[in-house]
Amino acid sequence: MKLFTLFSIILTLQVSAEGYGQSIQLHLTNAPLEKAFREIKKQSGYSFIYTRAQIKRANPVSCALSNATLSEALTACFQNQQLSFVIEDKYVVVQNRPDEKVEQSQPLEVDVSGKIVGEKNQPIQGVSITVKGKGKGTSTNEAGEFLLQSIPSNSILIISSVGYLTQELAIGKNSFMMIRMEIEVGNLEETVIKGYYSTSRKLNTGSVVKISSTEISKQPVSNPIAALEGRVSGLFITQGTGLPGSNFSVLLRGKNSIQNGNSPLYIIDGVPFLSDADRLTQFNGTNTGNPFNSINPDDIQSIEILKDADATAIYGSRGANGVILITTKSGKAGKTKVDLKMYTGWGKISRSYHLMNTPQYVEMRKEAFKNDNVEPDNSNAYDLLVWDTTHYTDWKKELIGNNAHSNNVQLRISGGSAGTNFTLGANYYKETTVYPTNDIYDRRIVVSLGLNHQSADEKFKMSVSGSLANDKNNLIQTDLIQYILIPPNTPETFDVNGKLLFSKDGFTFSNPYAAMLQTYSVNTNRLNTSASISYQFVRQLGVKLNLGYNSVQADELGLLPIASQNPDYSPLGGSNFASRELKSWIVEPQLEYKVNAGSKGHFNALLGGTLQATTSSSFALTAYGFSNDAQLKDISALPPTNIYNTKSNSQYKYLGFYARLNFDWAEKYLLNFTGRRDGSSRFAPENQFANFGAIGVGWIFSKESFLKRGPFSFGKLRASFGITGNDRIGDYQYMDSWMSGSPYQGLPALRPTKLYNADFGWEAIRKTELAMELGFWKSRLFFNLNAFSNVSDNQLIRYNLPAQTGFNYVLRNFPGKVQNRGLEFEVSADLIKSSGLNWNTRLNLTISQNKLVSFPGLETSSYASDFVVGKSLNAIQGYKFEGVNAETGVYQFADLNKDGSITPREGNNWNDYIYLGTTEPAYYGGWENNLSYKGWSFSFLFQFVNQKGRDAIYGNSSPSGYMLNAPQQVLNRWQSSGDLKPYQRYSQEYGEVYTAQYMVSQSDAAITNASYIRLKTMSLSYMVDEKKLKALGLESFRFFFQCQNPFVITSYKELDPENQSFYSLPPLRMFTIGFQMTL
Amino acid sequence: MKRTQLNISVIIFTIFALRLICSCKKFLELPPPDNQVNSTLVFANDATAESAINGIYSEMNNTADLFSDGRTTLMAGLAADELYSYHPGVEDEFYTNSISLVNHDNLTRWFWSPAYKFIYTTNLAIEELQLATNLSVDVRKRLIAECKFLRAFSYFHLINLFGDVPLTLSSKYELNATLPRESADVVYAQINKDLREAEADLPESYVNGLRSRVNKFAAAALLAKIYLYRKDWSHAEKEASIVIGSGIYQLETDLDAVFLSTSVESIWQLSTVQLSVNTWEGNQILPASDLAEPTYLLRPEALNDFEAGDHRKGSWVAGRTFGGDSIYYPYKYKVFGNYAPITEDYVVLRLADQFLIRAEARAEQNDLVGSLQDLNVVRTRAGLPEYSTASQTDLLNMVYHERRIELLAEWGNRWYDLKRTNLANTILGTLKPDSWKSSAQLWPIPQNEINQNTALTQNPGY
Repeated sequence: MKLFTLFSIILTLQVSAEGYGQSIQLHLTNAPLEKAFREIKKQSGYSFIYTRAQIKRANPVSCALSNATLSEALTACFQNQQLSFVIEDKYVVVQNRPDEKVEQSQPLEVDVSGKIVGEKNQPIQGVSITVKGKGKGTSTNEAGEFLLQSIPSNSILIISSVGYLTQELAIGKNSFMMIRMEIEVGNLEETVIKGYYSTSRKLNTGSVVKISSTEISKQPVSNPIAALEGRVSGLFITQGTGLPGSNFSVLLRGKNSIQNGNSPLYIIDGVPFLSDADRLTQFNGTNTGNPFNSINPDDIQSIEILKDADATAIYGSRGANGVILITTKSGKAGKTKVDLKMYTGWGKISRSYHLMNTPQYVEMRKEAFKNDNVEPDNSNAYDLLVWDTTHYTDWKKELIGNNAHSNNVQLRISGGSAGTNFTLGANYYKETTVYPTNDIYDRRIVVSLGLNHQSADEKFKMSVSGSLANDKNNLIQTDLIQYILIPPNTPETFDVNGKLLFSKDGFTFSNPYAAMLQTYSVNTNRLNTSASISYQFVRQLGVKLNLGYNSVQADELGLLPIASQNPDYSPLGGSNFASRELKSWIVEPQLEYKVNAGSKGHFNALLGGTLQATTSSSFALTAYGFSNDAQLKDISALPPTNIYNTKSNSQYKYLGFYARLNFDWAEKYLLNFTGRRDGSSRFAPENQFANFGAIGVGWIFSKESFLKRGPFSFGKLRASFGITGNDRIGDYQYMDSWMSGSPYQGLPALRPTKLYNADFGWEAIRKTELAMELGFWKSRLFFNLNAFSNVSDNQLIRYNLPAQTGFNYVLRNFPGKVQNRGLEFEVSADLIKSSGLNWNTRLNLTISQNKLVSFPGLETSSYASDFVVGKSLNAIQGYKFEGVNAETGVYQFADLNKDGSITPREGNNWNDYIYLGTTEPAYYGGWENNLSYKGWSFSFLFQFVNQKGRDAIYGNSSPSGYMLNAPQQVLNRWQSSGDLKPYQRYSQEYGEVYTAQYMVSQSDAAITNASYIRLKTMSLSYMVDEKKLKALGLESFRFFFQCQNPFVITSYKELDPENQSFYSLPPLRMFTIGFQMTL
Repeated sequence: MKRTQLNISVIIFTIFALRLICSCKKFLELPPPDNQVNSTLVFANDATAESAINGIYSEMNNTADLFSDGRTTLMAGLAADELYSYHPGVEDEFYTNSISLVNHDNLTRWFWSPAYKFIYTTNLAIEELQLATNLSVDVRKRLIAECKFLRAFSYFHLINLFGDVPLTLSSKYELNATLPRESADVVYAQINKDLREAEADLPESYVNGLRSRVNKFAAAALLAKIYLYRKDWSHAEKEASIVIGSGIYQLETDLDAVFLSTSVESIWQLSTVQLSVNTWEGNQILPASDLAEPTYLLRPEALNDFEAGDHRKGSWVAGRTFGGDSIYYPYKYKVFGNYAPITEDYVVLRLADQFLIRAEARAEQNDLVGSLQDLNVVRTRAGLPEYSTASQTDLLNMVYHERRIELLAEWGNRWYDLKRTNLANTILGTLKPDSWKSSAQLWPIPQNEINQNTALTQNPGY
């Protein structure tokens, strides 16, 4: 790592040295022309020849040029003059323009065209050019050219583009303007959205990471959350399953709450979105209906991750676990554009068990019987005695070894004028999986619209965005990976007529193909809308109103056809129907006041309020007893007694008032205060309200005169402290309640469902952060170092109760303190920047730790055996493994308390338990590289995680020897007295070997190194030369090849180190190819 | 001009904000969801109060795998000398009387947790009923008595499976959470008190005419059993006599009718709640078809204990061949399920047991004639010859034998009888010489419960 940093610094130094003195820097505001001449002479060595008369007639010069050539600098100087120039040798000769006209008093309407280029003279596309105060504008085409017709000749143009410094230029007499854009220094001027307000990266006092659409679009993922994996420090994302439309677990700066929502707050265009923790589904399928499935990553302009108190406190009670803000794309002034993107892809499973073949399996079974001294008979060994012991099916290959396919089509139309613009997008996405069928898939259709309008005087602004999505997640009820362990000599699963078989000679077996008939689908319809209206009364004062409405409706259908069940049991068919609807609206008025304090101070105040209401209603119906599979979806075919249904509804209301006061002095000293008072209906009336707030300070020390030298270009120290809260506890939790049970004697029945405890209050998290940002060589090399500590207290938890109370838990405030602290380190460097090759690299690293700091009364609480003060909340405890006993062939464990038996921890009495560690990552991060050369661009991201995980063999509680296949690794087992082997003997009974396997899964042997480095994404694209496209009428054309998870380096055995699951599909390795074109 | 505009907007905003603050408390007020009611409302009228108690019965028979809907028969049957499971599985630990940590969560799920859940509900209901003012006197009295019966019933099984257990008698979960185990004597005293109060307050007739909610005689029947277990012979005889003499119950002459919903022998039976099955026990034991793999089978010893000519072997045991072997399984319940019409309810207490309780109590009190009479009532119904005379010891052994056959694979009676008559070590020690230990008579307190409540202690041998 050190070497790499050094290397990048050296590289950057060299590149920068080359750049010095080669070109002209010219920054002038209304300067005399002569001054410009002096500057150019000093930098270029060219002298000027002119007369005093000419200079008298000259207009003042304003320009901002960096690395300009001589002729560009001169063009800029003479742009607004009635003079022109010629270059002769090392002299610039100033001439009068030939056909001079007398200036008119009334401005003329003129047409202005121009070309906008970057530092390397490359044309920049999509730059917005607006006529100041006229509500008129356009944007540049792919050649960087623009045309504005019939505008007053005294107009001033505002030229802006993301990533570049905004310029204001007078058009003067020019009909053609050559404009050079200057890159924003390290994107310090880049806008950072912090919820209700935005600021620049430079002046930000909080911890915010921004991921742009460019980074998202490089990854062949269907879920925007997946696109964040490995890219953001402090954000730890894991994929639970490789099924299409799968769920992700998202933790921002660790686990603050023991049980309640630990997922961040998601906001889309200002409106809270369902979180990944909000279950949309009521039945258990292989997926729980991830709400993000219905979001098209291509609709996203940027994702901002808000981490510290300063950034999140304005969300008050909801910001405890951080906030993820998603901003969707909006239109741009200019020519109407049509953008089409298509790709297709293939996926395979990355890692899974290496299982035994039939001879190995048969040997295992026979040895198990021999070891147990049991004679195999029909009841316990029909796989050996009845079935063919030479038959072999590689179930892994058969069931999960196939290719998954994905297809994506994305169409977007955008355009408009400076006053009004729009974007309209449509997306179709379909992904199948690695099962032996194409009927199992996730399919999404999204239509999105964005509209912006502003009045000519720019005082009134409004924007509307909306998206309508349908996601059909067509899966089955059990992940087929669970069937790969069926005996490899399982008889034929189909008869000669293609009918499913369930038994051979009376002995049943699991037929995975039958499981494939038990479908489970979730059909989600989502509508997201938001609107924002603002009016700027005067320069200092503006009002704004944000409105939003979301609705999500999910319909589930699970089928249990007769055909999928063993006919020997005279089965009947069944079906499950469920529907859940969530509707949420939000109204947020807001007032903003800005004023200058003295010559250098800026003061900004924001006041606002939030009213939010969410209603949820759900309905579930289970029907069983169909005698014909054709009727499964027709519940009227059944008598009412065969139908069970439940219906529930809930409401959540929330309100808050917030204020933000911000002050900066000379853009050097920064102070930001945010406060919020929140009320939530989730608490009993006496505990509904609470106050939250934060203070953030910053000092841009690079602005101090004593530091302005050398390559050092930017330095900021910032600190923040504040309190945020959490109310993710579900609705009505404080109420005790009785709910309907199944009728008894045909009469209604009630059952108690919750204990009463109105005495709980808000969960509070105190966040502290200290950070430093450093930029070198105009921020080509940029460091960001954050140190944070979050302490959560007064936690609301489902306090476990012993079953003797009649309940498993009661919701209550928890006296213990949990701390998450860590260091986040980010570095970005433009290693190579030239007209040809460009190389940008970024590294992020997070070192974090979770700790239960204190827990008064732990010994007497129901958590006495679950936690260890001073260790992580995820602390694992268990037995101390002592290998396989060479005589008995059974795992043995240390009898630490020497009482003659191996016993687990009981409260403070650890018996034979020891502390084994934690599965939380010690550190994690990502290393991203973007290279481009001419039309080619190549980027890749390595993700690395240092963690412990469950061992694939020891961590599994099912031992080898049963009528189940086993990983080949266990071939290395104990066989006879004296053997020293890692794995115990085979056994097929539920005796000491079984118990020992259960115990080993609760021992230190079950915890192993699960660290990994994964090439997470790789993308290669080629942009076809625009000249060749002209003839075809295309503006741009790009081919790309992308892959996700191409390989992983890990010492973790058998399974995937990310999902570590024996029972669910690992993340897939996906390859996609596609193109993108603009008309 | 600008200043005025500014002032106006500030005023408008302030008014808006103030308006919001005033109404915010109101904004957050929500009605409860449609499908939830709080305790005070539940006990505000007779109908919902009835529903609350009805709910306890419903929960007892709602899902498979609870002590109250078949698990006691199955697991205690495996632990004793009644059943074995055809397919090897974790339940084998019950069969070999060597329950390890592997099964602790099952013990919680099947026995410990549901029993205490019913106890909590009865505790809460008794408290609320005692406070309730809007209920009719009769209903209130009866519901309290039903709760006391159900509480006693749950404790009876807990004590017999686990030995000493925590005795919770209120709905105060903070208090209940830390209670240590109470000696079986104290728990029995509470059971006894509850049952006597229930017996006094319950009506003789059944609610709604069905035998699926308890009446006075159900309380007497359970009380008789508890006195028998406590070796209080005279009281056992007295309570059994109350049931037998009530005139409401008769032994079914047709053995196949004993477990039907219409059985006149039944003192208390749980109505079917999930209509897909008749009884969960039948659904668990019976094969779906002759081709289906067997589940719980009768041990050969149990089969051999039937006397020749015992009609019960024909009616209550079924056999078939599977994989070339002849196998036998309990056949008291004859309907597997699959939405067959409901003809069977789950019998908890029945008259034959009362005859055998009285026979044993009378024999213990040396009333050999009376004892023989009761014993012969049961034997005659089974098609067996009457016993004429016997010594006290022989008679007791004859009663034990009769209980084994009559109550075979029924509510763990055999397991409980072996333990209370001190025969477990002799009989099971002989049958399972490798694995039997005397300490296996009590199942372990689930480890997780000890973890949650450190005041709990583990039974010896675990």
